[in-house]
This record gives sequence, C-alpha cells and structure tokens, in this order.
Amino acid sequence: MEFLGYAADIFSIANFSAMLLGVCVGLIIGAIPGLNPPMAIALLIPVSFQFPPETAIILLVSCFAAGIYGGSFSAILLRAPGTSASAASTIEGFEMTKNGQAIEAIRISTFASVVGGLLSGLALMFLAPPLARFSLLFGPAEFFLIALLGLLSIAAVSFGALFRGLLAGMAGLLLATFGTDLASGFPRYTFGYIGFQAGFDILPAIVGLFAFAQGLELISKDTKGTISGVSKLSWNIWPSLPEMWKLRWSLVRGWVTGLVMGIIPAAGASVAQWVAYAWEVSSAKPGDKFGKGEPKGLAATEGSNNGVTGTSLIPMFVLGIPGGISAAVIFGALMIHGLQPGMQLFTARPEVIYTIMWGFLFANILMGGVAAVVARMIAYLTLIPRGIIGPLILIFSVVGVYAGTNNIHNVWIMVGFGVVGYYAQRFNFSPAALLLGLILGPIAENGFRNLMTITNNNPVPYIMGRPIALVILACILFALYVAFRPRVLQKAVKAGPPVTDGTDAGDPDGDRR
Amino acid sequence: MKRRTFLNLSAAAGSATLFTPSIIKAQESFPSGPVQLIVPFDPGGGADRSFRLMAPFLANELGVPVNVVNIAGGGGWVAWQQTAQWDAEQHDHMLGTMNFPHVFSYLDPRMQRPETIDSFNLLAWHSLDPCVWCVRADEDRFTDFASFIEYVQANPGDIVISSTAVGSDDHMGVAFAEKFIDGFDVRTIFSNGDSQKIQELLGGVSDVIAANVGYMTSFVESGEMRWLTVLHPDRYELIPEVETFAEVTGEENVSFAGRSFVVANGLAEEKRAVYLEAIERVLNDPEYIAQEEAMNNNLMFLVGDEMNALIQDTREYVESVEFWEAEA
Repeated sequence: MEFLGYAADIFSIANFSAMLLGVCVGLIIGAIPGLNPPMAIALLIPVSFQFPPETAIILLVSCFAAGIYGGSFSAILLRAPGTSASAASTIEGFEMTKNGQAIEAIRISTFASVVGGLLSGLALMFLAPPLARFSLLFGPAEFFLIALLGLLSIAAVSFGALFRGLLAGMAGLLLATFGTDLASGFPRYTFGYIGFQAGFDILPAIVGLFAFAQGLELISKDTKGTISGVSKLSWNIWPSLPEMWKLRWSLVRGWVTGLVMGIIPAAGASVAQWVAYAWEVSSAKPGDKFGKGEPKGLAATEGSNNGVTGTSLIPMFVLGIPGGISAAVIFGALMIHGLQPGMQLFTARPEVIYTIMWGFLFANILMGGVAAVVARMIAYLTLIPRGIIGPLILIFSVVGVYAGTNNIHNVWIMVGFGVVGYYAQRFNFSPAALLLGLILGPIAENGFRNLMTITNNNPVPYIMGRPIALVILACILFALYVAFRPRVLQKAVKAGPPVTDGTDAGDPDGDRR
Repeated sequence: MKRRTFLNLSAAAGSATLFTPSIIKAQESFPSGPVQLIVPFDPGGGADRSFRLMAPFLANELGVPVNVVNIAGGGGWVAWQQTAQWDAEQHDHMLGTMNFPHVFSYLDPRMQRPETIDSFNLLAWHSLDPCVWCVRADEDRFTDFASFIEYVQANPGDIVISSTAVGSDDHMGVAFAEKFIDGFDVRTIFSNGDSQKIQELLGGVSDVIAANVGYMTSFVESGEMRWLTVLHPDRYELIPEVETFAEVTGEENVSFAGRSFVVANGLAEEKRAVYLEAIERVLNDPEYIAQEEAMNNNLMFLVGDEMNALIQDTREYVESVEFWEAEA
C-alpha cells in the first residue's frame, strides 16, 4: 500500500501545472485531424527537460490521455476524427450531432472516456506486474486471430449492405499490402513512387476517409444549412447519473474491451474501438438504432478508446516493451530522464513510478473538467453553415497531415483516400470497413506469416496448444454465431410459423423447412 | 567491415578538428535562425530519442533553436531523397541525419533508387550500436555461442530467430551467418521493431533475438536474457565478456546501427565547419554523454577519412551479404 503515500505528491504546483499543460495540449492537438497524440507527446519532450522526472512524465501521460479523448470532439461534432483512436465514434457520434444531440453525445463521450481512463489507470496502478506477464502470452497466432476478430467488425459497420462492406474491407486489405514487405524486402505495388514505399500510414487514411470526405460532403449540398440542423445547443454539459445508468452495459462492454485490448501490444485503441462497437451491435435489442445515432454505440467506442490508455502503458513500464507509438515516445522520455523501464523501476524508484500513476489518474479527472468546457465551445462549430465549416475541414485536413508528418506524399495519399471516402459513403460502401482492412491487414499478414514460419506451415496443432489463441478463436466463433443467428431467425419468421414439433423459430434447423 | 577501421576509431574519435579564423567569423552570423534537425523516422524510435536528446545541446552550441522534424516513410528514403536535393543556399539551416546500414538499401536493385551514397554531403558520424544476439536466461540447449552454432548445425531448421525487417542491420547479421556459415539453417521471423521481437523471445515464440546492445542491455541486467554473441570486430568495450561472432566462427560478421549527420550538397565550407564544430562540442559534452550513456547509446564522433572508411566498409559488408538475393 506504499503507493497511497505518493498520492499527495501530485498536488505540488509543478505537478499540477504539468498535468494541466499536458491535458490542454493533448485536447487541442488530439482534436485537430492529422495531428496525433504521439506527435503532441514528442513536442512536449523538450519542455519536459526542465522538470524532475516524475513531473516530466506526468506531463506526457496527461497529454496522452487527453489526446485520445480530444480526438473524439472532432469525430463526434464534425465526423472528422482527430486521431485513429476515435474513428469509430464518428458512426454514432456524428449521427447524434446531426439529430441535434451534439451536447448529449459529448456528455456520453466525456463520462465514458473519463471513467474508462480512471479504470485503466487503476489497472495500471494495481495490476501492472501480473498483466504485463499476461501480455507475453501473445505471439503470432494470437495477433493473427485478433486481426480476424477485428475484421468481423466489418459486418457491424456495413449496416445492411454486407456485400458492399466486405468489398470495402477487401479493398482495405489489398491497400494494406502496399509498401516494402517485411519478410522479403520486396517493394509491393509501389509503382516506383516513394510515397508508397512504406505502405499507407493509418493517419492520412483516416483523415482522408472521414475528415476530408466529410469536408467534400458538406460543401456538396445545402451549404447554407448547419450540421446539427438546430440553432441552439443545450447548456447541460455535465453527465447525469440516470442518463449514464441507461447505458451502463454498453459502457461496461466498452471499458472491458479497452482494458483488455490495451494490454495486447500492437492492438491498442485503433482496434479496440471497432471490437467494442461490433460487440455492441451484436448485443443490440429491438428498438436500438445503430448507424442512426445510437448512444449505446458511442458509449462503447468512447469507453474503449480511453480504457486502452492506462493498460497500454503496462508492458512499457513493467517490461520495457512499448506496445504502441505513444507508449514508445513516453518510453524514450523515461530513458531521457534516466529512468530505465522495467520491474526495477517499481522497486528502485517507487516514488517516481507511483507519482506518475497518480498523475495519470488525476489527469483523467482534470481532463473531464477541462474537456466539458472546451467541448461546449467547440460544439458551436455545428451551428456554423456547412458552406463555411466544410472548407475549413478541408484546409485543416491538408495542413494537419502535413504538419503531423512533414511528408507531402502523405497529403496526396490523404486527398486520395478523401475522394474514395466521399464516394464510398455516397454509395454505401462503408469507409469504416475499408479502414478496418487497412489497420488489421498488416497485423494479420505479419501474424500469419510468422505463425507459418514457427510452426513449419502446420499451425493448427500449435494453436490448439495456446490457451489465449483458443479463447480468441472461441470469440470469433461466437461472433459469427451471433452475426448469423438473427438472419436465420428472420428467415424462419418470414417462412411462417414453425411447425409444432417442439422447436422454436430460433432453431437453426428452421432454415431447412 | 575491415578490422583496421575499427582499430583506428578510438583514436579518431578523440582527435580535434582544426578551424581557421574565418570559421570563427562565420559563427557570428551563421546560423541566423532556427535549424531543422531532420529525423527520417517516426517519433518514439531510437534515432528520434537520441536526436531529441541532443537538440537542446546543439541549440546551445549554435546559439539558435534546433527543432527536431520527423519525416518518416520509405524506410528513411522520403527524408533522404529530400536531403540529396537540398540547395546549398536555401537549405543551409537544415541538418539531416542518416542511418547505416539502412541507407544502403539502395544497393537492392528491386528498390530502383537513383541515389547512391555519393549523392549526400556527409558531415560527421554520431553513434554506433553493435548488433548482438541474445537468448532467454533460462535457455539450456546451449551455454555459449560455440555450442549454439553446434546445436544449429545438428538441428537444421529448429531455431527461430526474431529479427527486424529484411535489409535492417539485425537481419543483415543473420543473413551473413546463413550465407557464410556451413549448416547455419534457422527460421527467421520478422517484425517492424524491437518491441515485438522482445515479446516473441520472452514469450517463448522464438529462441534468439537479433538486436542491438543498447536496447538489450537492460534485459540482460534484469536477468531476463543473456548474451550469445556480439557482431563487432573485437570484444565490445561495454560488454567485454561477450564473445564476438568472428572469435567463434572465424568469419567477420560485423553489423551495427550507425547514425551520422548530413548537410546540403555544396554547402559553404565555413557553414559546414560551424555545424561540425558544434556537433563535436556536443559529442564531447560530459552532460550529453552521461544522458546518452543512461540510454546505453554509444557515441562515436568521426569525420573525414575515418568516417569514409567506416562507410566504405559498411557498403562492402552489405554487398557481400546480398540480402536481396536470399530473400527474392
């Protein structure tokens, strides 16, 4: 219980100021499409040189948590996600905004993110060493199967146009093969163009598919109307208990997904949000309006992406293995400040590591307070005519991607994805499905090839001997069962009342009658 | 890599560079504004870490802010392509960085790169981190590198090595062994970076990790891994107890991650000297050295013939490995 003694340390002026600075920078940079949390954290590293180690790292982890959350503002209010972690929130969040429920969506997002971040921070503080060992149970077989599980989310984001969704997902998988192949060094589909040599970055793809496409959509019609279709916004920015109680199971599903996916290296928030959303859709009840502004879907995605934040730092702190880019930047900062990540950090410098963890916890609370106020102001963007906000989104997309990557090729790639995203949305080819293919393709490919190598091309017995792989496999089979069951049910109902042979309409055999 | 190059390195690293009075004059007016320090990879990697650490020291020496700018993509080539085209006047406030042996990916004919090493105005060498192979601490099939080689030869295809992508320094060391050591038959799995490789080794997916001394030191010190061999010409001073690849096999397999500085082609000699002097001062600054040592980074300041000899040796090593032939 020694860590309790370090809680008071975070209330020094220096630590609190660092937390506030980190939260503000994270929220702003996270909200701008193209600028992402790793870049925000990297920008703060020189500032952190001035501080003692614990203050410096509190600054960076606060920025990380707020950056992930900040990305949700623009995703919900403008359908222009600021980070890859908030792309899934565009689906229900922006629909809620269009229905005049922007402030309600922000309330849900704030509650889900703050509590998700807190739970994740508590897991980081209390369970770091055992959870870090758990992360070592993931190898190529598990990565491959997790990617497959994630790809099943395509069904959830296709909204009745499954064939088109699958086509979009396959296009995403194909695009994911562009770039220099890890295992042979062969430049695949580069056509001699240097911009394709490393494959497609996720960031320009997301900004293009969602933000840039949204800018085009806004200027293409009704330029005098507004996004929200209302002229006034509610002032009620604080979440109410009854409102959140209604969403309790969706929130829990989102938080659980985030906490678990955070521990898995390479998965992170960009995968967790889609898995959480798919889980939510598969748990739908009659009357839920997924794809049309269903608060449950938003609660799940927003809970999951901040649920990832704390647990994704566990392998980095305990094992010295950063699981994602943000964790890698914080890892570098720890080393720059003379703190070698690993178990010895917990025994040799407990005052530093536990002060950082307390800082992370309180940063999440502070983030909720600052964000609620900031979000209220940003929400006014939805009252601006589409003809003005559309071009602004286009400009921010271009400037954001260039400022974020310093790579002009990425700007062109973003514009390309933007045009594809615009037409994909118009003709109901889910841009989210394309993005899922792009994100999960490399994880699936690398996992599958390494799996085949370590098993001498005989993966089945190997998978059967790996408990985590079997659990993921069971999740895949369960997801498939849930996905197909309602259709069987519907067909059975359409076919008329079942023959009274003791089976109900849900019996899969109903199809054969 | 030639042994003579390395034997000369320590002496060269300590040698002073001569400067004329005209350079001191140039220092008063140049640089006139912020300098952009280009890192050709994403934030969070080893190069980014090291150069972000160096930037404030360099700013102090140059008297102007030094901003780290990440231009990632194409395995470093998005940045290097721009560097090769920098104008001596227009881009005189740009300081590039280049990673070895990664830049020699242009030797792979499949890459169809028009640039060669001669397309760049290399300024100075910054650091060198030798490649090393490690195993889990509880590995009991072999006790040292000699018994490891015997095990591999007796059990072809049994050992799995975790390596970074084809063309990396880590992969080059493995590819060299596959090409020049009889019966060295292993299975290699590839990843984008060190994190996944460590995960694979500690999780029991692979048997050996091919990485660099700097990152692996903490895992050996914490008792999770032990050294197998170092791909260095002589015993490496930071881990003198570790046998070199050549000691055991007789084949000089020398691979490392090296970093250097680049400026615009045709940059005025006095401006070049201003950068050079500032870099040399930083690399001799005890405070900076201590911070890099805390990250297990091995600084190595080299210029002129010594640097060119090291680059030439590296190129010959990559050409001898011909990794593109094996993996095509």
